[in-house]
Amino acid sequence: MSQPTGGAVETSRGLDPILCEVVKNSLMLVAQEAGIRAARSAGSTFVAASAEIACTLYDADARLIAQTEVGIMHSAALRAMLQAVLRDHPPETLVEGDVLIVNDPFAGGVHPTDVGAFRPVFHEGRPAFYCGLMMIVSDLGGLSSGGLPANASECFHEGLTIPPTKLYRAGQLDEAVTRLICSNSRTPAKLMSDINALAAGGNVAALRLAEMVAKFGYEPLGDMIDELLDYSERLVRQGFADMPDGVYTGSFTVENDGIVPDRDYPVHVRIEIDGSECRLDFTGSAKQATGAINSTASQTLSCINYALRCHLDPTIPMNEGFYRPIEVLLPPGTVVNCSYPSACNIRLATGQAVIDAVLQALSVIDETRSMAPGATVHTLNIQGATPDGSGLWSMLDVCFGSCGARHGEDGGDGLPLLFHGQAGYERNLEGYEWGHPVRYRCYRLAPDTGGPGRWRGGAGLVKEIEFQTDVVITARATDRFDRPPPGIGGGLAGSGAAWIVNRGEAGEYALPGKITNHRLKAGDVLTIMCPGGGGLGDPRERDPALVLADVEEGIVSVEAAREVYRVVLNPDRTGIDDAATEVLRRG
Amino acid sequence: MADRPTYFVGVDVGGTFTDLVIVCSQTGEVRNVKTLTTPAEPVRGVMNAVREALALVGATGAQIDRVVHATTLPTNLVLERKGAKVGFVTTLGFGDMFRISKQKPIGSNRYDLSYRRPEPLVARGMVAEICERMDHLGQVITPLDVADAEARIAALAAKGPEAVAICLMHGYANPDHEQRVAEIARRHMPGAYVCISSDIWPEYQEYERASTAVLSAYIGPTFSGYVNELERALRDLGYARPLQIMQSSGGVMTAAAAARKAAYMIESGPAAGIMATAELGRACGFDNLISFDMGGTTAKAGVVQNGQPRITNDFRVGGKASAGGRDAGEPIKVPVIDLAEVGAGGGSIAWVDRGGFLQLGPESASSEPGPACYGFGGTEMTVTDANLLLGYLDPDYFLGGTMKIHPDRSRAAADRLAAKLGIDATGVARGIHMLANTNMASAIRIVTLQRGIDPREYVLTASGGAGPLHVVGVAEHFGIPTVIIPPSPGVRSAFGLLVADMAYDQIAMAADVSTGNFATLDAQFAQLEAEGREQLRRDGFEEGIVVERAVSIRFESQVLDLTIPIPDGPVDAAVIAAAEASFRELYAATAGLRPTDRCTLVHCKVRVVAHVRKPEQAVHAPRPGDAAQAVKRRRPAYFTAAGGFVDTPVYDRARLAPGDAFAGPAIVEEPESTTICPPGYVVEVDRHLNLVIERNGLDERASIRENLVTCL
Repeated sequence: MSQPTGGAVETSRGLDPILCEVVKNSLMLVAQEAGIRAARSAGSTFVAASAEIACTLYDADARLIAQTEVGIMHSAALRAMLQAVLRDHPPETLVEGDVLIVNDPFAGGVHPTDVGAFRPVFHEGRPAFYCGLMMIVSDLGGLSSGGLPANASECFHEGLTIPPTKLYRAGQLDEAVTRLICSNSRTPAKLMSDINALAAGGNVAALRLAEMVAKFGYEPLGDMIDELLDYSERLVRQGFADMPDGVYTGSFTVENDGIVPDRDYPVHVRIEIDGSECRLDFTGSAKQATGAINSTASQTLSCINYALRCHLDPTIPMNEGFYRPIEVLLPPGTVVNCSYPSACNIRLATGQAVIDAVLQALSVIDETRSMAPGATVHTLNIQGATPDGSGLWSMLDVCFGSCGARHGEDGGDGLPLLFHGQAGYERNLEGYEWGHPVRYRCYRLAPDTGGPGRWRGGAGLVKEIEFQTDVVITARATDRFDRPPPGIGGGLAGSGAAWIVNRGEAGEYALPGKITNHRLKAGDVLTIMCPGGGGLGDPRERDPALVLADVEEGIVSVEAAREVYRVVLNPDRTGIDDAATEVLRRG
Repeated sequence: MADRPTYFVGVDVGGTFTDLVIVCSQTGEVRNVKTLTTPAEPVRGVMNAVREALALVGATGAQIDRVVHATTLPTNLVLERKGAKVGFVTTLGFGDMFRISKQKPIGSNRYDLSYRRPEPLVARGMVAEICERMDHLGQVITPLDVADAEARIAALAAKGPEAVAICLMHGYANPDHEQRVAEIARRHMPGAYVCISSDIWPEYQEYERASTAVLSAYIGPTFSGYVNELERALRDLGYARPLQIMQSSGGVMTAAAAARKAAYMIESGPAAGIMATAELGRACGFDNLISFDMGGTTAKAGVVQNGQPRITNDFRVGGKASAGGRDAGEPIKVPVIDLAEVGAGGGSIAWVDRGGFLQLGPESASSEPGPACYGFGGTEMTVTDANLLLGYLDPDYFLGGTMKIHPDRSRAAADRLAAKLGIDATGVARGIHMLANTNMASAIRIVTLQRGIDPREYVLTASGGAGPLHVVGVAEHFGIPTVIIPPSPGVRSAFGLLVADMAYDQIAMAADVSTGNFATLDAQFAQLEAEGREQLRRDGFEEGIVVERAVSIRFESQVLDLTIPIPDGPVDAAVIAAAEASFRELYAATAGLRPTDRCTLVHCKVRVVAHVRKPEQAVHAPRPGDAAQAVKRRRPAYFTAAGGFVDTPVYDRARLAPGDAFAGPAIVEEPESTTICPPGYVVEVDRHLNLVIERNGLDERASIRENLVTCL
């Protein structure tokens, strides 16, 4: 919270600033309630476990007027999808009770398993508002269950593409559309729960928006919404105006796409701060990949929004006004704006590179908001026959690794990149063992995996799973598997990742980062090693007391303390040999 | 002795004040005491209040029949990180659990690149990993290596823990290893407070179970010392029975049991508040109520459903209160009333942001320096200042006239904001009152809409010093038709302590019944019931015991489980089939969908309750009312519906009688609280002296709902 610096601040159209604040809060409550309602009704375990999904509201001109904080990953997609929806279904063709769905990555979407749903809200016979919600659905076909094949090379491999389509017409479910999408899903019942949950959220938004129109009046509400968009614009402009004018550049290289060996994919950004405006140009970024690491324009924009908000006031309402002072150039046919029909389910490889490149560029402006790159999400899909052979079981384990070091702060051991809003121990292992024939042998922080630095990257994580039946696994390391998260400002890289079968035993072998449908036998043990974050600053400048604490806890070895941090411990490892340390550090 | 009156005493220790209610068991006469809390010497503060109460009624300690106590002490230990030095013992391979952590950034923290998780309650290095392993059915996969355990626990003991929490993988399914490890720990650390996860709450999900055990260990030594000392002090005063402590669930346990299960007491004060609301509902004939409590720095909301407080097993202690959510803080699995809290109250500060909009909080003027009108040096405009400028508070009758306040200082603070906003000071005050209502509404939204409850079907009750000032505005936000303000809303929680029963909650993971074998499940229920009865027998209760049983059920494909009560008698296929049918109905009602997936049993839950004698609620016969005689003065007060300031009658609540009725705009004053009734609402005084406020006319929102096309 920043207190005003003094002097009168004017609203642009002489409206009651208090009513505007009430309208701002009320719109947010509408969006949140719709998002909560949809999450509660979801069929897929992953969504039902979360409290809320992404929800957006738009006015009659399809301008974004409110957006919930959850679903950062989806923040720009819904806005882009609505444009495609209205291109195919102009407002005059819509009626009260319509719900339109869309998942086409090349119609504003991100990948086929993320489905958007739009509900027009009517006033005096015309669409006055739209509500848009988005959810990752349980399954829409594709090469592997859940639409996350590591070896996809076209969007057709990732599931059924749905162009903007009316699912409900005047409140009536379209049976033909329903049959079509259900017959393309491995889990039709769950899929319909998910999609109907989106419709349920739309019902809530329609009701609450109609109540707001009754309370404030349609015209006055419109004026206050105009003011609300200007308000966000003002705040964003003030944020940029506070930054020194200039050109700032950043880059990050994605390691490989899982299909073409030995090729990597740099992402470059050139940021120009000019008065109260900001231009981001991604010219020079790699041509799009054969594999699924590509990011659509809307996915890239969501990641840009995230990184910018780390340097602006993150409480600025997300609406059309936020976008006004920002210009983004994403050359088509590149990894940051891939073209039809490229695959994009591992899009966060590029997405996270976008975040790191933008943060790197902006760290020149404000060093205190530096963050070294960290791990990306690793997913493991396991399928097998039940022990009695009567059926199939499957489960999804997710490991986020740890984030990079920050200015004045270590990376956080087991703390994933903040973008995800997740915790290292988000999912309990006893729960997996209850539902599936697997046994976890450990889940711990690994020594010497956090990138050394004055501020250390978060430690990497190790998980060992023993399978009690034969299984088929799809292992999907998003990025930073072979090429670990680098350090910044003199800091060193964190550890890379690994999937190792039967580690420490005869016949031990390692798997590549992205592998689809690999067979393992009952009794095999898979070791998952997730990356540690990069370090920040010279490790020789790290406070020796912090090094000692890391050694005591087994996060840093005595050898690394001496060789990398140049800290010599007493023979009993309970204290620091100050004299020897000083000599070592001076030399 | 027999002819001398006896008394019930409820004492609720809050952050600032200690509230006490003393009720005569023969006459039902209620007296209140409010004293300052003494955080440095907590027992002294409670005893001061007890002595003051006894002096008030002219009785001795020997005349007290029952003392029930609630305190914020356990919560404060966690918030201030002042608990015990805890050692944590777990299975080999999992000792980093609290370093890896379930804490995560929420809201704007996700953009804060210097975000740091709260420190774990287990300090770095205070962990021992033991070589052993069970599976989820409680079968031993790796036997306990006793020699290894001895060595590792000895090493832990050398670091001097004051308490030890033991949680082994799948320890809930078979407590053998945990118990043997506890024996070793007690041997190596004779003075330490030892608790094991299978004792505290034997449920799967290792992180939450371990966290519950750790929290118990963290607060256990201080809390058990405190209750033992308090019990001794009461005994010295002549009170011969066991001290009773309110649990977070709304049940009461003896101090001796509470000392061993400290994690159960973490929200005892708010639980007492909800119990008071449930009792109010019983007396007035309402099953479904929302309880809304607003004080100086926080506001809390909870729900009574079908006469019972809504309970959650997913509570988080010491989480970030501003969102009222549960994503932050230490998770505990023991039952806690479903409670949402927002960090906003009378002291919340208003300010103008860089975009030119008025904002409220999260900063608070608290009691130091306090709102501008206190004249203690505060210059920032607060909610209390706004209420004063709107004419809702009387400058000459603040805290019953015991405290002098200064409207001119509120006016000066408002003028500064008004200049920035380009509106007048009244507009600022009106806006702050409105924003406060919206903030309060967000707490209610979490415990109702977010749980699939339509608040319009519930009665809203208000307590706390500031609750009755805002409650009607909050009700309007949702279209809630009925609001009730009980007498003495400032000390309601203390009264709630006296209407709660003794209760012990037991849980087990339900046996697999998919093969058609129900005998094991039936035996589980019998055992849980026997354990609960045994605990009550130790407490001296053998009669009047009621056993409540439930199963929790989920869809095989989902994680969310719901609790379904089951009847007395053997647990067989028919009982479980009926429970499953109820589950499907409840799911459809809350989620709006009817999945066809198979169901699975998750938990057996048993609550063993001993009903205790409670104070009789005084009932007053209605009389042909003339409310006008209770009007003590009139003053201008601001109401949006009236278009500005209107001359408003101020009623003295002490002079209102059952049957009295009057229409808004109206103000009702009592010493520690003021009720605002805007135009368009009517107030009626019921036979329990509650103020019942209802909307005069229909809510236009009903027709909006009817005109909308609903999908699904």
